[in-house]
Amino acid sequence: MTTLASRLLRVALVILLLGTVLAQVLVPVVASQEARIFPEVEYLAVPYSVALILVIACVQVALLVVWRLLSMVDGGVIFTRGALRWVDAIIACAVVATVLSIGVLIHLGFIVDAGGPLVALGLPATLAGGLAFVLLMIVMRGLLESAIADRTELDEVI
Amino acid sequence: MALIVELDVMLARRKMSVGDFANAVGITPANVAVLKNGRARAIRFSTLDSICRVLDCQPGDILRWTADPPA
Repeated sequence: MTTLASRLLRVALVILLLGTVLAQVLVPVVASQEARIFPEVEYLAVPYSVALILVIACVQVALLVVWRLLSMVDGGVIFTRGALRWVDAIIACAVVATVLSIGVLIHLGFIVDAGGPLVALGLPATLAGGLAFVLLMIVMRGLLESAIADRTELDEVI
Repeated sequence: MALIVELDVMLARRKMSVGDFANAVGITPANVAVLKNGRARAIRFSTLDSICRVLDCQPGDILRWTADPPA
């Protein structure tokens, strides 16, 4: 079944995907501008750009996985074991993105000793936000797993 | 579980083919086969109701319990 909500969600996913591609293109541009303004941290431009592009890539993979799961919902096969692998992929993306972000913030705040309020606020926010998202996904994965078990059992009823 | 579905006997007694029976009960012939060869793990009361109506019998006429699982 294809509902209005799932169609609108697909439109939103396409917009978000285009937005993330644009962001990936802009990251090195902004980084080189910053490097010109603050030449003392110029050496950080390339590694931080790479890290941020990778974080955005994680978001892109997760968006594509949501698209795939949405197709499974539309096809009526969301309650099959195959769906769990895709949810695992979202969890993996969230873990990688969170670890990368925290790594950059820790490096910026405690090794480069810069960043100021960005690190002071960004680090706990990223830590709590990333952790909450990953844990929420794990809880929802558990719900999906029990729904699959129920559906599988019900399919055997004649 | 040692519950045996004795559908063969009742179908033969009513001179009904599997296809006609499946049609009359409203289940697929594949599910009739599952019932007949003892691979069924659960049956809806509504299905049992239809089967009894179609075969004009009681549940006990098609379900039999034995202490030992059939070999």
